[in-house]
Amino acid sequence: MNMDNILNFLKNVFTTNEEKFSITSAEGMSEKTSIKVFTDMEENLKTIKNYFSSPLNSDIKIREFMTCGRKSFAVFIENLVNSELLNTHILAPLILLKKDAGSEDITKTLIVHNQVSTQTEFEKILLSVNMGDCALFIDGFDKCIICDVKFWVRRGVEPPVSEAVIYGPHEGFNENFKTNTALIRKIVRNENMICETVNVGNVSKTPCALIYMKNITDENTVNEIRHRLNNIDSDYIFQLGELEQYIEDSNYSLVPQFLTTERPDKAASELIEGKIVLILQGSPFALIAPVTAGEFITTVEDDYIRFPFANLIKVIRIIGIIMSFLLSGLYVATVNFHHEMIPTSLLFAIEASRNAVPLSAFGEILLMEIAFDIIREASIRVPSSIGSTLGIIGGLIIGQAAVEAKLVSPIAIIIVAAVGIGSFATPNYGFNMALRFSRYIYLILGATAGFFGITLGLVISAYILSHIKSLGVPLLSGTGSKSEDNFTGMFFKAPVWKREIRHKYLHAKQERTQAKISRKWVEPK
Amino acid sequence: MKKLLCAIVFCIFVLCGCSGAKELEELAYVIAIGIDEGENDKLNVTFVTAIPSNISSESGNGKPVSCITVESENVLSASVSAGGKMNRNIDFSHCRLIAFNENIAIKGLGKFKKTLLNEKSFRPDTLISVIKGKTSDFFNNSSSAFETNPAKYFELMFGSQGSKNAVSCTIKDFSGGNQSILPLADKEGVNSCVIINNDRLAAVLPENKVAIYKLLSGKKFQSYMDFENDEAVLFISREKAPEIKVDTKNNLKVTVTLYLNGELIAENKKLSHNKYTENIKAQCENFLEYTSKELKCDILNITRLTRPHFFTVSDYEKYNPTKKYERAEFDVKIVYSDLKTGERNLKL
Amino acid sequence: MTCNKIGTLELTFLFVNLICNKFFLFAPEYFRATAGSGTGIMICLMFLLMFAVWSFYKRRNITKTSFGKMGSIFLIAVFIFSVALTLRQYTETVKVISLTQASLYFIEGIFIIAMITGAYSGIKGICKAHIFYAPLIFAVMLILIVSASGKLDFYMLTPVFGNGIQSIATNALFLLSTFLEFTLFFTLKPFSKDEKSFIRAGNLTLLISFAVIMIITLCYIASFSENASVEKYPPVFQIIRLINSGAYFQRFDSLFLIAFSLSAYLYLGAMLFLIWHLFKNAFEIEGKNAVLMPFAFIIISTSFINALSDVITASIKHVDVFLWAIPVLMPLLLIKKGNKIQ
Repeated sequence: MNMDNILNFLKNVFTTNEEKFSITSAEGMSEKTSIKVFTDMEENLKTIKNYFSSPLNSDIKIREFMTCGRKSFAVFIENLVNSELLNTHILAPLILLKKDAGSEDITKTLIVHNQVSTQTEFEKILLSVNMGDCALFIDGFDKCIICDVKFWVRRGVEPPVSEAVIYGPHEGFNENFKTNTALIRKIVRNENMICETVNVGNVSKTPCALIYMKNITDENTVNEIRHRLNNIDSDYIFQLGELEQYIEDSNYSLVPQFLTTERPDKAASELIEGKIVLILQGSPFALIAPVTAGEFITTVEDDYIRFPFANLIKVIRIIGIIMSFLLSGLYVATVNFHHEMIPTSLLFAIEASRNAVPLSAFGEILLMEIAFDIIREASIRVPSSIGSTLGIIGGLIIGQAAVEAKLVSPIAIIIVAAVGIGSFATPNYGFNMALRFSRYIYLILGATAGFFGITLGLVISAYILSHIKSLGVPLLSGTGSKSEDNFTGMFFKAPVWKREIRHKYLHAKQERTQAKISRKWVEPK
Repeated sequence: MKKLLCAIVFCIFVLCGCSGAKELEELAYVIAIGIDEGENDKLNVTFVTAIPSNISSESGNGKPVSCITVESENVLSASVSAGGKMNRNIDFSHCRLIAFNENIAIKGLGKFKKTLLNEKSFRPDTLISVIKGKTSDFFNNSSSAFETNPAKYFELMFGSQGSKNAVSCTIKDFSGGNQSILPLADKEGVNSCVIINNDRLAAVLPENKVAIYKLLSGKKFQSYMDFENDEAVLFISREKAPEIKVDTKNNLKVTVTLYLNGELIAENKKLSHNKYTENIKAQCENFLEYTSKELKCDILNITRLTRPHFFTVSDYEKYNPTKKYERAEFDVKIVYSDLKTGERNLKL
Repeated sequence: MTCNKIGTLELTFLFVNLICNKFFLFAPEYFRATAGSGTGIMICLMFLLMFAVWSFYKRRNITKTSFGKMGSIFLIAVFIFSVALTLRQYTETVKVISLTQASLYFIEGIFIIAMITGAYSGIKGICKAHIFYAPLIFAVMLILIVSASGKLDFYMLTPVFGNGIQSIATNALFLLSTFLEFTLFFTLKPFSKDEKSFIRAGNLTLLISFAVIMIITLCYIASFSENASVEKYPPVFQIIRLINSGAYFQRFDSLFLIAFSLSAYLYLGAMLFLIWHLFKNAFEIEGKNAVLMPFAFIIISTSFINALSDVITASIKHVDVFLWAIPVLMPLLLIKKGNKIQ
């Protein structure tokens, strides 16, 4: 291999993937765009039946009727519409009242429903019908009347599952996009809250709400995320988890670059901080960006309880997090390389308990880590009635049995259990995944070169983290001396009356959240 | 970039494997080492290694340690052959005690200094002692007395500073200077000390002198002292560290001020308090004269106190404080206060 | 964009680590050998000299190409040599204090990984890593050293003038080679936020490194007499070995390994980056990481030379006698060029 080849190879390695694979655009519904609504009703009926493969497609309903002496038909999807509304507010007036009117007049004088619009292009009509609207075609008019009578099957507002709190509201998002935006608006209650709808997916056209505060959020950030949302060339996007992967900055990073939350109060508080919230139809959570490292270890409850306790809990949480990705690596490193660190009596206890165990320290920790992850993975899928018992009891029984069978040593069980408990202290699911992954890396590093290897991991992870950005905002912003929110401000909470200034990295239009003296009742001395 | 990174990381780890790693059970942890004289100038080195399963089992059957004696030129080479006998590698990182036979100490301990300093797994705070009789016998006899943790046993036996007649000495103290004071033990336990001067055993200090040494050296101290044939018992403890002042004008002049707290426990015969302090003062001066004139040994390391009196090292060496110390004058003052509630600081 | 600017603290900790790093290796031992108990005064003198040099140069107009082509090549050669030596010293130290069974290549391989990734992650990554770990390293080291202070004997710090005033004065000048890395501080001026922050960072760097060097060296001298210390262990490691606190972690030697290796990784990454940065600026090379790997290969292959350990001792004797001139005189180039541009 000559020098050119080596250079080419290196160049290839360092170019980003997007340069290599430019995604070819999907052939979607391009032919429909040109077709407009015909004046002749029969023609329209034929076209609609053709698009929906009507008799074959059993839940597409086409209701033909006469109104104002003209042949008409309504097309809608069964069970996506509120049929009572459709009957009483739309079909009843149209059929019963006799009037001679144009299509404009019909919407104004005949249809008593509250959300009505007209459409001329079939593409949009099809989209609306697919969403659960009802489309009315009337002979002689070149427009179609769209009535919003959506009634989607959904569950009600329930308490959040993964972000339960003791001291705060118990409302969580559900799968319905409109409910979710309403839940946020219910908390913010401000006309400056903008809720833009962007449809993502060429075919699926899933509605996505882009929510921000007009008077606070930095426009560049809003433009950036709008730009990203509008430039996804993919046919189907149904879930926020998928959307997140399309719009995040670095795909290979372990650490997520969006904050996910199930809680409308969390979304609202981030919104007024100057961040952007994304909600997608069908996903019971919201994405928040930009985000910095400190926020992955924050829960919404930290804001609600008094600040000394919030900080105490935070310190404990940080210890738990450090434990969850370092402890197993440190244990293997200590046992394999740094025997002198262990107190003599503990050393003898460990050695005595490990005497009959066939595996090496690394082997047994790896085995138990994998077993623990399997239990965790399995306990999600088992029916909920036995799920919780399997998680705890299963772990205990397997651990106890493994110790008695001399498969692993009791200390390995203790270490893995501590790691597991530590990982449950992580409030953010995506971040938790990152820690779970890096735990194995540190385990290997610890087994390879002891503390010397673990520090290598720490340094390299700092290098990598410093390059990760969330919507252009570095994940570690706020940790350096350049920004004015200092290190402690990022990880610890000040008392609520001291949180006066929004984070610098957000470039918010309004810097202050409250006056310098917010407790006006305090009498100056 | 990340691909290249992952590639490098995994290549190195896969190629090199887990180099240097040692499982706990591959090693034999030495708790104590005993060094005896052997034939033809060789050494008989006894390694006391822990048997963890016996130590941590609750039933307590089986000996917690095993003693192996190997004949060799040197401690480290002995550890290799002992490891061969035990089918494990010897590890010194949890070694608590290195005991020398009395005869070895008389011959000279200089050759052990560098070994103990240079071997990484020996801790600088490993205890050192001298043992009357064979060390192997000492370990074999005392192994029955071990409680659950033999390392703790040695630590309590040789490392304790509190009791009157014992001092402790670590590798760092031992190899740092020319003089050191080591505890001396026999079958019953530690009861006196030996002074090592220029790597050789210079003298055995009787019990009462050890107490005086501890008072003068500023070690933590509390003890009972008898006067007038058990007529009076005084509980003595140190109020604060002694002040030692040196005067380097002509001859070396050393002034020691001891601050003591005391409490009279038993007093059958009425004696004035001055009597006790005079007694202690006399003992102290006696001790200092004995060590400097007779043993020519600066056991309290007083010569280093002259260092601030000079500007450069060459001045200091020209003055030659070690030689001057052998002709030094000593003056001991005692500031005594009664240990009594309410009247604590009543000076006598 | 503002993203490329470095704050004061980042710059400070970057150079504190570069300067003080050698004090986790054998520099304290070397200092004691030259000045004996007068080391404290010698360090003060050194820092006064360095402050004078720094205040003489700090307000000059400095641009990317200030060092000139020849100057840069000379500096690069010196730094490559010194980094290669340091890399070898790190490797041998780790082999002595912890991974006694591992091969030298394995240990050096890990250092090389850290070095190359550090340099690739650029000034931003290096600064972030420093602001996280450098305070941690120095805090841990200082806490450990101070907790060993019960075993210190402050009489060892006297006689105050040690080996004589003349020897202290000449050695203070020669040992200015300690600040070799500080020369590179000037190359980072274009990255700095503004003039004020640059000058503040310089002052802080010298102050903090003064404190760190002083504490480490004096504690070492106070805790070990010359015959109690062991040449093959780094002085700080020897101090930390003295600590023994019962409870859970009886020994703290391994904490030294953590702090030491973190500091070494950061040093190597930052130095490789700065060498490459110097080269890039001197020859106005555009492009992302064009010639980084060749420099890494030169450093690695230099450090693999078998006779290097002899070179280390030789260099301490002969090369260091001249190296002091670099931090003192090299910035002269800056003035010449800087004024021309003005």
